Amino acid sequence: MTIHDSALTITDLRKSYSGVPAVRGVDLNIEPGEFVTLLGPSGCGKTTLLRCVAGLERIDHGRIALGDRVLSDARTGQLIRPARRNVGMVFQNYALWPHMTVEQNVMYPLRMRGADRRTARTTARTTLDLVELSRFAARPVGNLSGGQQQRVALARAVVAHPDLMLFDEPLSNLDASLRESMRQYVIDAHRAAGCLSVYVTHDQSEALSLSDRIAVMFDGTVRQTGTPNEVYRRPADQRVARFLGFDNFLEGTVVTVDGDRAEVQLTGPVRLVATPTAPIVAGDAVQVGVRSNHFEIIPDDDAPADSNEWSGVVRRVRNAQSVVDLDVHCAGATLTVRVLDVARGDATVSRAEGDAIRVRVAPEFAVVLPSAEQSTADVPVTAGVERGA
Amino acid sequence: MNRRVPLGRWFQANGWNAVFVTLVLFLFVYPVVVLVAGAFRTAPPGRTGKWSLTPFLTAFGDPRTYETLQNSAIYAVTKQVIVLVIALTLVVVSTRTDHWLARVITPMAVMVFAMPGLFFAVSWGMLGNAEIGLLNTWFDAIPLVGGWMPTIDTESWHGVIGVTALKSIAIEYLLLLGPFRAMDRSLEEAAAVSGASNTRTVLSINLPVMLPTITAVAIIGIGNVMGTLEVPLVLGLPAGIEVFSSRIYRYINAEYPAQYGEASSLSLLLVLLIVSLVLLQRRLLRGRNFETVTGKAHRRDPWHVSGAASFLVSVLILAYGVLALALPLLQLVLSSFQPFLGSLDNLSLQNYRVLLDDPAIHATIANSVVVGVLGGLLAMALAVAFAYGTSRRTPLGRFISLATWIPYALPGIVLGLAILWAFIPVPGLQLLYATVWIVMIGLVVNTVPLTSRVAETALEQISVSLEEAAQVSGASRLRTITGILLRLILPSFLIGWFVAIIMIIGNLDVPVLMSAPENQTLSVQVFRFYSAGQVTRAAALFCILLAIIVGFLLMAVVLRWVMARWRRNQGMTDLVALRQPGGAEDPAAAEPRTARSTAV
Repeated sequence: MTIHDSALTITDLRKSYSGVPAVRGVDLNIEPGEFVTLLGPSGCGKTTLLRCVAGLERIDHGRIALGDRVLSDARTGQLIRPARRNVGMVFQNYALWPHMTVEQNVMYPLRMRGADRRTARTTARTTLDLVELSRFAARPVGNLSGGQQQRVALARAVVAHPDLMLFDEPLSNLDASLRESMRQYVIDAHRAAGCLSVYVTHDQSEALSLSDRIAVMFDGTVRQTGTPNEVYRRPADQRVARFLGFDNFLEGTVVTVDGDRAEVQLTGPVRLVATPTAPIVAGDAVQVGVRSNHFEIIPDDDAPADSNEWSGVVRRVRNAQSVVDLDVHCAGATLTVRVLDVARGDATVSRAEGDAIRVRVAPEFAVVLPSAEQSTADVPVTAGVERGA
Repeated sequence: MNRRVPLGRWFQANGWNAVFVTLVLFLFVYPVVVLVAGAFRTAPPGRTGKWSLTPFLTAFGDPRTYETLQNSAIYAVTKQVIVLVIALTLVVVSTRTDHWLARVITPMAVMVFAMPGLFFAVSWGMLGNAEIGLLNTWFDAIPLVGGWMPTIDTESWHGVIGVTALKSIAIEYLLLLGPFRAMDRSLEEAAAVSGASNTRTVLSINLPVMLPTITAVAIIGIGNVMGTLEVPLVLGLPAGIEVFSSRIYRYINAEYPAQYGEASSLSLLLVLLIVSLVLLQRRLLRGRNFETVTGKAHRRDPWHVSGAASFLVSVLILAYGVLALALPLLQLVLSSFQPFLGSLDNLSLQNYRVLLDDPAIHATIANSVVVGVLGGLLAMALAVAFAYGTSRRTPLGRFISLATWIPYALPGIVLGLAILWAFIPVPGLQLLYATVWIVMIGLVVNTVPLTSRVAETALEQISVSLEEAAQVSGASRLRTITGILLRLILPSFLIGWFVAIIMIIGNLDVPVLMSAPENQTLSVQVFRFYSAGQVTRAAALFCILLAIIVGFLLMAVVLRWVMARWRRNQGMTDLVALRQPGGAEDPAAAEPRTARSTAV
């Protein structure tokens, strides 16, 4: 079994800075070859966790192992230095050495592993091909654009065949337009390395498009792990849901549970068939989360249904770039309903302030979230947006 | 050119500019012109003489000049190599490691920095006296080993270089500290994950990345040592080692008649050397722009030093503390109680009694304190006025800021000479001759490059919008300056003032040729006692000088503490911090970034 076939095992990891906990007990298993994203707002401990894996931080408690090889163990005090972990790491600010050329930067990890200059140069050139930068090999790194610099950093991270790839918000310093096209280079680097990757970001769309699996972090703990689809559609609690773009939360009580459907009586007249994300029983107080773009405006001539349907009045129309948000007042709730800008010409959808409106949501788009989390989780989740903006 | 919109009339602004230009021309440019002219005059300034190439040719025809040049080069370069290696080691230990003495280094360096150059020269002159020096006496007293120990004689090449290095290490350490703290740590982390050991990281990443700073510091160090006077005078001359500064001193003080033209010629050569060093450094680093995007600062666990490395570092730090502070202090204090150097039998307060009974000494102490306090205030006030009143983006502003750096290239002794000669021929200013005030002017000009940095950094941190807000609220320009600006920079102003006082009081280079026998400063008087062989009296007077310096140092520390408290209580830190989005930036790392764009 080569080390490339080893899984990364993080066990009850804790780390504080002068008494302030940054990571408070994380368990995580990452399979060989898997691309796992740590997603969360700033200050949630995701970067600290990554740095512990890199060996840049001494851990207070717990254990990190790659296959049979223990990297950090707080109990025995074992700490393999970053230099001996054979990791490749991409930093948020590129961290290219300004006194070296592009090629020298990429050669450095090879030289540190004892490769002679000629071999190192050949390998570096091949790796630079991967990020399409071989023609810049002799340039000083300061002459490159931000995107090119980060591609050099990607090449440097993979060049020495690491057992583990670590990405610390590598795209967050780049322009929004550049960020999307850079994703392909990240995927290529991950595949070229052939090992497992841990990727830290606060950008949900980045996480959703890159990852095999996402671990959502809040307050130094992992709240949910799952495939992008699972996390996107079935957030584990209200905070995760809010961070992933759910913007309507409705109070209610569970009436019946039937497999992956539950019937919830919301505060007010509306009864809702929705999808539970955690085990619940009848009588539980819950919240139901719906994304504003998952509401559907019901044509006036449609007959009323028993459930999943609200009627109310448009109180405000807010124009955003390509969408329109309607604040809809219903009995017992105010909903935010998002319609596409292109649909505004459609008379069935177009509404002005003061107009009556009926909306509905499909059961698979309404998720039942345990309400117990709510009180502790009622912190605004704006932090994640600030740097992405 | 006005980013600060002048409320006043156009001529008012230009009136201020005229005042600045006159002041700058007179204090910073004119003396240099006189110095240049002096190299081609047969008589000293103020006397009737003729234009002539003779002094110039004499100075450069003299083989001793070239010997001096060679000596200076050996002196400067050897010292610089030693100092740089030690200072860099100390900086890395103090900014990167968890060594048990890491936190001691900076306070120690600040203390060494506050000590006048004369302190090291005089105390090591006593300590390393070949016959009766404390060290040799101790070594001889060790049984068996004693006879085998080589005699330590600081009046030698080793002594001159080693003793000069003691203070230089502290200066260069402090200069390197800020940049090393500010360096982007992720560059090191990238090296660590690439497989580099800590030592390898320092050698292949930190040092190359810091090369521009290190080169700059090294060149400043070489330039400074070329002009430094105390050690060459006290330790070098007795051993027959002449460097530029001591040669210039001897042209005027040890030859009869005094060779002013030759002194001037040699000064010019020295200034040219320093200027070309600065130009060389610029050229070397042209096109090497090492600015990088800095990311979020992440605290990193310090490097762990253990075993042999830790032991060696401990030895280095402790040895430095002993050699630069403990031993010299011990020797000075001990000597001040001795009737003559080396005598351990009749320790008494006799030296102090004699000194304090002498009215001339009272006058000297008063001179030093007045020159220090007043001169420091002037140096700081000038610096603030220049920094506030000029914009480097205009040709005029660039000229002013460049001119205020001139004294930096002029060694103290040369500067003193230049100002002396510049003032003698001017009718009204002749009155200043042989007074302590001309000495003060020399010291102010010498200190402005230092205080300018303090002033620029302080003004840098205050947003122009704070002043604009005051003006929009109806405050006059004057009220804005006094009520808002001066209030906000007051803490920095006071600290800068105190640093200037300490620098001025300990200075020997500037006043040594300027001050008349009846109007000495303390440092000059110490030197006179010492060179006249009254070594223990010199030690006692030096202890008095040190007590004054330590007094000011303590006042500065207390003041800083009080200011910090006051600012915290007023919540002013928030206001001032508005300018720096980074927030928790290390003050030591706050180098003056860009020129402050202002106009009165």
